[in-house]
Amino acid sequence: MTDRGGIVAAATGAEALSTEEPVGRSTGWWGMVLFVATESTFFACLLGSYYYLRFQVGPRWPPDGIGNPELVRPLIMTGLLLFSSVPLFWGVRGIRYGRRWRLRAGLLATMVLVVTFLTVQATEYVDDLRTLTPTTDVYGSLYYLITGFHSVHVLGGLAFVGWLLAASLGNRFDPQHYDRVRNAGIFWVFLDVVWVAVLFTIYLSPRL
Amino acid sequence: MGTQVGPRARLFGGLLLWYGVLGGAVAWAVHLMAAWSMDELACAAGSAEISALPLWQAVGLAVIIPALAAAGALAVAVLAWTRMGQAQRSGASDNAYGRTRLLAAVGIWANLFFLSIIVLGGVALLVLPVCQR
Repeated sequence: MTDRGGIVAAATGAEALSTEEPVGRSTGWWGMVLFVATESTFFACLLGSYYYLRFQVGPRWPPDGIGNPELVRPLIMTGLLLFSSVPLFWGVRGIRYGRRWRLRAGLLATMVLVVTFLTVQATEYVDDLRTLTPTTDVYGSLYYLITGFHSVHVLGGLAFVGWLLAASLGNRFDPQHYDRVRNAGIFWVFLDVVWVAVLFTIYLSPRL
Repeated sequence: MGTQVGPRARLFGGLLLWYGVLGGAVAWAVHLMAAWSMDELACAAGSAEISALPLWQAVGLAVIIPALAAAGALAVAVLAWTRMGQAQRSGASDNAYGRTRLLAAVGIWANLFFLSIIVLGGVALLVLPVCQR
């Protein structure tokens, strides 16, 4: 009891409260974490809007005779996006040990998978636009808004990885300097988590 | 810097500051999601109960628990503000104290703001009938 009281007293003292936690992170790391936090809030609002409007519309969802969204391509896209993290983190791990070729190969493989993801998304839009547009109804607006904003973020991630690949070809990274690549990993985890939430909300929840 | 503080106390202190700064915002987000979804789902199903618990009581819990969490975060932010002020007045000139005091000030205002929103949500629960459209 005395021990516990001592720890509480020490932890609520000026020195303990002013401890930097987590310690020693770069400004870039904090920037990326804050960016991911704001973007996560943005997507939480979009998904919250989806559920709010879904329950306002009534028991039939999607409304007005619109069928459930197709599931095969979204599942393929899920595999592509989640798997694109593997070569990225493989490359990050490689540069930690000074293996530049591994970083370059990992970034290139990530880009190929992401371009494939966006291509499959584009083919899905082409098919969907025949029957559903962003102005058809509230469901169409939400569908294109949420998946579209996620795709824009994936496109941003693609540009980010492309920039890292160009920098790695110029030998800008070594085992002491690879913060930017690690920050890309944080962004990639964010893209994956948001996509899983989008998959559940847009493609799976209407079937429940 | 004075007395030696152990690594566990430092970790706990650092996490406590995070709670003091962000606790109110997280509590509000949880309150919003829990209270709104319970109300919306129960009323859409035509019921004013959730698992035999009257809806107003369930939503009331989704107000009281987050409000207590936000009030706790406010108390931690005030404590951090006070402790940093005392340390600075006693002559300590560590940059970390200034940074922590700034975060504590942000925490005080943010927690007051989020606590007010949660409490006003609770007032709405007392004033308006459940499932009112």
